[in-house]
Amino acid sequence: MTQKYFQVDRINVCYGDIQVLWDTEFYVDKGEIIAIVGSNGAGKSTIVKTCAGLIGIKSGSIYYNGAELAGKTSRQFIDLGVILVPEGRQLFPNMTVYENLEIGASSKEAKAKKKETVEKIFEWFPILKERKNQQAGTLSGGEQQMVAFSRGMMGLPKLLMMDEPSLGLAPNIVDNIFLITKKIAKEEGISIVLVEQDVRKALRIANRAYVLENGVVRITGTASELLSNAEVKKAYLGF
Amino acid sequence: MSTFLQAGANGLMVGGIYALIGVSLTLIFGVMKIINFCQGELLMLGMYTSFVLYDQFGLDPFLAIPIVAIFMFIFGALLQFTLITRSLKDEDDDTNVLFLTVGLGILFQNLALLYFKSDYRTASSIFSDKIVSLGVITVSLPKLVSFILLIIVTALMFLLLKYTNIGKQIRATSQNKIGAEVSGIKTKSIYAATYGLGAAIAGITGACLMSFYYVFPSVGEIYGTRSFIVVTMGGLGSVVGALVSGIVLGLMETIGAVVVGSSFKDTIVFLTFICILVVKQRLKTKRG
Repeated sequence: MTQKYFQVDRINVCYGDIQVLWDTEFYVDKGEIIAIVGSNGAGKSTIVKTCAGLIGIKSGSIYYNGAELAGKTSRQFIDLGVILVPEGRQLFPNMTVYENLEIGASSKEAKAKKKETVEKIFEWFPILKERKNQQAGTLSGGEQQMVAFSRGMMGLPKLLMMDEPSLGLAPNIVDNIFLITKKIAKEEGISIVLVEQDVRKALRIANRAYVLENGVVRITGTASELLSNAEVKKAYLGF
Repeated sequence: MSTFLQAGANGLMVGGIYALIGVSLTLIFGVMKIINFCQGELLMLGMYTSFVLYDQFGLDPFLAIPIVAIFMFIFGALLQFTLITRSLKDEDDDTNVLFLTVGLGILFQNLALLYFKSDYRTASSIFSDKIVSLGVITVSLPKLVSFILLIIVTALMFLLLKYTNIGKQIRATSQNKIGAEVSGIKTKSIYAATYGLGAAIAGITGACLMSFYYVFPSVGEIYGTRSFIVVTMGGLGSVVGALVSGIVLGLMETIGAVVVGSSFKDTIVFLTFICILVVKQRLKTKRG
């Protein structure tokens, strides 16, 4: 098997005695958007947390650009450009929008290019420019998700993982964020891993998708294959 | 009238010390959500460090401050890195770390007793025994210098937290640990730095105190309990709150001593503390 750009190879992950992921594997090509979908508790968040170095793995490998990531610290993942936008946004509520963004620039390279990246972000989300000196906790949910996404972008990701970005947001805001996501994947060659409960929305922007059930990858294929898959239709698309 | 003014001036100086130790405690709580029961003992260690520097090298307590601060920073950071982090492993259970800090307090006190014995020790500064007169009130110079240092240290800490990289990382970690981790902040190092900073400020307080007070192994108990009152009054985690309530506490003590006699000093302090707790609770339930 030839190694892909980012490849997760049969990882097993446990929380204490409880195994959450079973021989899970997936890959992402450069500039590709993949979606990981599935119901609550299927292990979707665990996958991306593991791929961000926040959770250790029992066995298996995570290859990125030919190098093994498993065993490295979360900071090392970030320095290599593997970055997670966590579920629930996890902003710093009493810091300004600008400070939140600044914190995201953690690697040397990201620090050096801080100003440029901020400019780009303000172009994508003009509202954040208006709100840059406002405390992040006072923003609306949609604006907070923009900040969370942008904070991730400040770290100059090569692979950006987004955990439930649509949670609790109005549809038009989600569309806006997904539009930018698609744009950065295409224009900057950033690979995206999208974890979503909103399967329909996720499949609309993803190239390929993985359906996860109880910690096991059940179905995989291109987005259009999945959209027409009877099982997926019945279980996740509701028709 | 002049008695009250004098008491007020003294209260301000004592309050400065309470405020500073309160600030150090609230910093540690604010970032790590650890209630550090050995804060008073860290102050005691700061005092002894200052004493040793004076005793061995004849260093003025005020000149010793930078050395004490650096030493206590390293000591605190190591303490965090080696022991406290380990007791924090189970994040839902914070009783471990509570017991640990209580135990460390007892350990430090007894080590001090073993090494320095229970004698009262003093160090004198070039400012010692000097007095400044401002109209009807007189203030001892070391107390005044300590008060000014308090303002400087607190201001520096504010600037550090507000503008420096490490300060921003400390604030970020205190506000959202997961958010900090996914942003590449090494939260363990931040915790160590914060605990070190808290220990350093406690040490600075001790070194200031050394210029007009004496050190003995259980000196930390007095200031430890005071620091808890200060932090509870000012709100856990609030630096400004600690600053204000430290000074209020100092004023209460000295002015209360004038009004009802100095033997009731502690009674006044704790009664007021209880009253504030009751009122605070009332206000909370009313609002809630």
